[in-house]
Amino acid sequence: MAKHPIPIKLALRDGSVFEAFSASGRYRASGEITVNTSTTGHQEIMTDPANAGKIVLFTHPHVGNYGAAEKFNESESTAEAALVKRLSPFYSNWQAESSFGEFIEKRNSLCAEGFDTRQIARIIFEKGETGCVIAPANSNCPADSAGIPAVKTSDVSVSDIKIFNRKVKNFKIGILDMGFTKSLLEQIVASGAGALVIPYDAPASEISKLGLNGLIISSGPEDEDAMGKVAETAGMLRGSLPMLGIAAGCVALGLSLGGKIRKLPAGHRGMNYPVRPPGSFKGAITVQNHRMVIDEKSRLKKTRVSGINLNDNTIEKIESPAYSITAIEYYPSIPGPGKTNRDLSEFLKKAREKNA
Amino acid sequence: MPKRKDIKTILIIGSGPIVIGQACEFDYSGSQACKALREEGYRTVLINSNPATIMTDPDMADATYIEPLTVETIETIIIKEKPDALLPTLGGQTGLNLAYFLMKQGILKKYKVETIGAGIEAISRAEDRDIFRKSMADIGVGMPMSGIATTPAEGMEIGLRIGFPLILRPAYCLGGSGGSTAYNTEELEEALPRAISMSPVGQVLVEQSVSGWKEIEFEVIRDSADNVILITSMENFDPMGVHTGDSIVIAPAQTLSNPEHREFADICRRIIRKIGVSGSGANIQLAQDPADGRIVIIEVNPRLSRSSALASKATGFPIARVSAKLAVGYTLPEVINEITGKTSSFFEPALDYCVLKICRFTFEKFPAADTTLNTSMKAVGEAMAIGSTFNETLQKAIRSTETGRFGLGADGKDKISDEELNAPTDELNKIIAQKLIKPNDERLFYIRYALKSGMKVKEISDISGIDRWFLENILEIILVEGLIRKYRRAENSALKIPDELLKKAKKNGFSDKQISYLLNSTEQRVRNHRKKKMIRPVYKPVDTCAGEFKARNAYYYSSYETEDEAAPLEAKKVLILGGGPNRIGQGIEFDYCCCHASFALKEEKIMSIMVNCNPETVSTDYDTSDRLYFEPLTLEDVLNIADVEKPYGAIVQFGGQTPLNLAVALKKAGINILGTSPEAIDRAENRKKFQALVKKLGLIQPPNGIAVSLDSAVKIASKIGYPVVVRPSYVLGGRAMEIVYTDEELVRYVEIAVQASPEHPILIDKFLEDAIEVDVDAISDGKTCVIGGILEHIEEAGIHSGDSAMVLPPHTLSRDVIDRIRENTFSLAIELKVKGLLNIQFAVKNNIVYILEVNPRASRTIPFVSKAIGIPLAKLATKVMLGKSLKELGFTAEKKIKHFAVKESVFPFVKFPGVDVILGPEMKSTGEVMGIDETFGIAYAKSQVAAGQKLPGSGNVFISVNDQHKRRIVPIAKNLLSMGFKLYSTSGTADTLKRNDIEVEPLPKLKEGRPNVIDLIKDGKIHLMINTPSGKATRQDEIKIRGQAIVHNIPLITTLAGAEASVAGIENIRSNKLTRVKSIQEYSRD
Repeated sequence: MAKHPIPIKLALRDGSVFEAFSASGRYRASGEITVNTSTTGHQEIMTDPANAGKIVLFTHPHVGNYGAAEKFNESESTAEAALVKRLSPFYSNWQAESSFGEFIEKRNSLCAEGFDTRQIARIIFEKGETGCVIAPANSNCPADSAGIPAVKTSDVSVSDIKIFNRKVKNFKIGILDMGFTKSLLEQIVASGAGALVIPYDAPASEISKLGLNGLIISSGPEDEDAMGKVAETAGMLRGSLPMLGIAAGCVALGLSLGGKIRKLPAGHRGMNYPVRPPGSFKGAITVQNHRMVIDEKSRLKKTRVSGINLNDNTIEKIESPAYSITAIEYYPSIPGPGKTNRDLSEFLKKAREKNA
Repeated sequence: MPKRKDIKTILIIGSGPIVIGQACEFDYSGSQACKALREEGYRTVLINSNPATIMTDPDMADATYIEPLTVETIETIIIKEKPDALLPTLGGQTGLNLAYFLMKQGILKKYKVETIGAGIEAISRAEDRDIFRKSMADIGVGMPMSGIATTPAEGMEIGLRIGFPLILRPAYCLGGSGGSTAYNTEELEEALPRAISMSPVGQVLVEQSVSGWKEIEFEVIRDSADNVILITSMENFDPMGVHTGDSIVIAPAQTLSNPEHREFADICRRIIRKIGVSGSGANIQLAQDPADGRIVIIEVNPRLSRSSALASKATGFPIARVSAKLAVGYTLPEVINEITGKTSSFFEPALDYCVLKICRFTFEKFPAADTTLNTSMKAVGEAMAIGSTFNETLQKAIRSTETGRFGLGADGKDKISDEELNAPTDELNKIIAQKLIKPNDERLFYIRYALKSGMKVKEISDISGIDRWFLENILEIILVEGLIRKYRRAENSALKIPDELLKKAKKNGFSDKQISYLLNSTEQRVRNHRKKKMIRPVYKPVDTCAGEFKARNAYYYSSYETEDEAAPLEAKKVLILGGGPNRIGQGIEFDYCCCHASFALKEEKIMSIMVNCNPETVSTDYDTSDRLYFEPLTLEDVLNIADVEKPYGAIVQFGGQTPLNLAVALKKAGINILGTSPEAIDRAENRKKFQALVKKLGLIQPPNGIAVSLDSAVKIASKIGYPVVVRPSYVLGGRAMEIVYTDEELVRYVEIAVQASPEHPILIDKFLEDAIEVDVDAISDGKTCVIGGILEHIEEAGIHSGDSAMVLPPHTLSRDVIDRIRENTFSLAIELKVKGLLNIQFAVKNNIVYILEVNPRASRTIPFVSKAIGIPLAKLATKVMLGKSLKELGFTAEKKIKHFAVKESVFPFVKFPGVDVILGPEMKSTGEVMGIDETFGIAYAKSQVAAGQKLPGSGNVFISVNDQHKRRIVPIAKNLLSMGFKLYSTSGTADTLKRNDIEVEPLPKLKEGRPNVIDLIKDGKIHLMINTPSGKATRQDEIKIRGQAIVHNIPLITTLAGAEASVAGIENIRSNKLTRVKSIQEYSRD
């Protein structure tokens, strides 16, 4: 807890109000509340651009136990606020550079602690993700919170192309930046590919001039306008190079293939989501952070559904061999040190073959 | 993939008696698996020598064999039952080893039995140290430097090459048995032979010690489709160097960063795939250098384990059930998650709470034992606590251990006072530092002392290796303690503690008892005050998914949070109070009874609510009762539940002493105690009231008295006449009970050991030498009483009933004596208006029947008797307690059986080197086995084999008995000689034998010459040892000799009665009748 914890309240759009303390300098915030059930990786989640503007509630009771480090950051953007049961004022890990609280302060975010986090999580899981406001306990808190601005992809996307592994000329992967994470970029760079991070609104004509072997449409905020725009771009590029869509990028590709999309009441946000090909006995446990899904009734052009969620049967992966398109709702997370995610390496393999 | 149709019958091997390192967790996993397999329509055949298990209940398997767990017996059963498959992963290390030997000897191949769950290759890859090391190298997983030795010389060479300190790990051993740490050449030299002889394959791993590293465990499951899931991570509070079974463990791990967690997970997936576990779970233990994050693998258990039971209870994921389904071919996506009732088992549980496992030690039973914790497990039991935060959970966990502590100190029981800690002397600082450096059972409390004395967290962490995060949290608890103490008040004045602070205290896990101590008040006042201020716990579910899905079969834990999710059950309901952590004197037998109470309630269509905190048990399985509260069994915690649930009544007579101790307070709080009234229980347990009762009924008690001082003790003893049994009045289970033969011994006992005072009187009873003890278990409905079983002890009086072997029915008592025992039982039951179970201990001498003790509650022998006679006594007793008459239940006459059932006890001496191996009035056994047959001799021999006494059919016997036994040893020795045994003896015993024309070779006393008996033992020339202790002042020689017998695994008999029965057993072993097997279903049919 900070030296002078400020009593705050959290008001949900449904009118329920919860009291707690702000453990950081800030005590006002608003945004959409989401629940994340991950045991670790809270700093990574806070800096995932897909969470920009969001208020993230963690169900794991202790947050900040192992401190924070620059290398755990996924991006420059930060979620509006973290809601926790207990923020650890002390930390213990050889990698740590600061406390989680200090990380929050540095990022000018907010961390409020002392909630019965399960109580709030249950409301969200039951009624769906909703707008909420954090304000000082003694203030009048507008529970309707109509004015919560939605985060735009433009807020998190690069404005100019950025190049990594510049020396590599014959194997280049583009990342259409809807809010990409550092761990995605790291895996691509580690595979030996040159990586070009491209503004999400770059026109298809420009992208096709870049000499890419493959294009990844990254995850990020689920901004429907931006996804629509990216879908158009992807539609124009379709067939010209292998494409991999991730989360928001997956939805955009689904749209581009003629799919309908819908919003789950509460998103899949955590590290324990089971996904398998329809009818198969073999699947994988995945890390996810998305609320938009491709509607099961969609008719997708020359595309098959190759991954469904075992819990709620939503579509988690689609593949179109004809167009060399794969789209996954889950994150292509690093399986272990020095390793590349399986979906990602399959995509990189296709991209490499295109080169040959 | 659908389940396999080519398998019809599946053989399951249980884990046998409860020993340190192998406790009820295997009953829990075995029962769950049996249910899961029968659900799928497979025929199940079960073998387990432990009658006190739920898994050996007749309706758990199609054929149940309570027989010794040996390769020979299992082969006979295989021939008889023709199983298609063997599931070896449920019976702990015992079951796994047996499967391995069945394979090695070609038996599985011969009878076409396939192993499922973990194939033999997988078992070898995990258990054979050499193969394991190679496998880990193949997949690039680091290991501590090590080498494998089969001889001490090899071990020395490896050890010197690696450098000290070193860990020795015998292959194929459970609970780290025989494992030790060597810090120098001498210690290595001493430890190697023992370690090699402990391993059933004579193999020891000499390993670089990574003491002080972080210890992390994962429970991992893999199915035949190669899906791998991690059930949970677990982090040990105590760093490497302490056996995980002796460590405090927290789930999930708290101090791992995301990349570290990912690396651990990746290693675990690689390992389980490499080992080749398919269709089962595995426990993977790893160590991490806290300085740079480097990870090494320590051990893999390709089976269900203590940790998997813990992981199941911690997450709600029923690992045994799911593993059983996977073993018959299903994949994870096909198996439903029973807790949510709709999602599949292919997921990784998300926890929104903290879980802590804490150990229960019993060093007070073995005063000579070393209390240092190391790589050989010493805990006899464990408790698990669930709470919202680490602090809340830690304090709950401590009070769950039932060691008289109500949290982390500040409960009036602290060894070191605040005054001393405020100005610590150098000496005190030294003591505290030592207790932190050397792991021991009190370390947690010494962390508190250290912090209070001003030691910094960093220093404590540096010297103990305990992670700073845990210590900082503990420091917070201590700060809250200080805040509460500020409101300490004068006696009888109102409580002034602010509501906010009281809330904070409860959120940090403080019990009312601690708060009352700090405020100079009473528990009752704090409770009333707290309730008035509406500061109450709420109940949160263990639901596997952090609230993401609605749970159908959740269980609950208390927390000082906002939202309550446990709406009280809407029906007639009964609270069953469990037995808490296992300890010597209170173990699985009582859990068995509690489960049966639950089963009976179900049959009577009454809702059952279980309260218990032992994660090993069947009673804390998610589907045993209608509702489970995973809570400590203290008055505060139980009343909190009762306040919410308002049950019709509570059952306190099944969980052993734990719930019984709460009976009076619960009744005072208005709870209806079902069955025998607490007053009647008091009448039986209060010495004075009991005397009056015995007198009223005209029964006979050994002469006795109560002493409040040394003077009165001596007077009473001289009036009664020596020998006498002495014990403190305030302890149970034979704690500190002794037999004294002289004034001198009595003085020592009263002055040094116990210190009699008016508050703590000493009970003195005439000791009936050479009497036969008898236990009776009966049920009464208040009007009629029916005997369940009369058990004759094999060992003579003076040995705790929990340690003595017993036979049902009695085999030497006259009809007249038995009739009088019955009459006594009936009159006591009726006079005490017993409603439920009743256990009476008698002693018979010169045809006189003496009453020693009456316990109007479930006894340790209830499951044994129930199995022996084929009648579920605990279930019937529950129904009686609910108001049914025995007549209505159809149990009106004592069941006559045609067979004999022998109960034998199992002891933990091998875990406590240096402790003398003799039996006495203080109970020392951890578990029991049953031998059952048509004749007494074979039943007894089976019980011995099952208990691990490998009675030899031929060879050399060493006999050394005290003077009182010299006469009676003669026929025993003659018998052994006639069977071809060669006899060795000490000079005294040899003289007696020679005088009786028995050929014997005398051996010199240890200091007088060589070769002496220890030399012979080391050379493997002694195959059986009969050694009765020579009284209280036992000679050091004797202790050494008995200790060597234990180390070298030589059957050791320390009583004459035991020797007599064993000789009868040997005759049967020689005639090879031990493999005659019969299932308990067959016994009850016949």
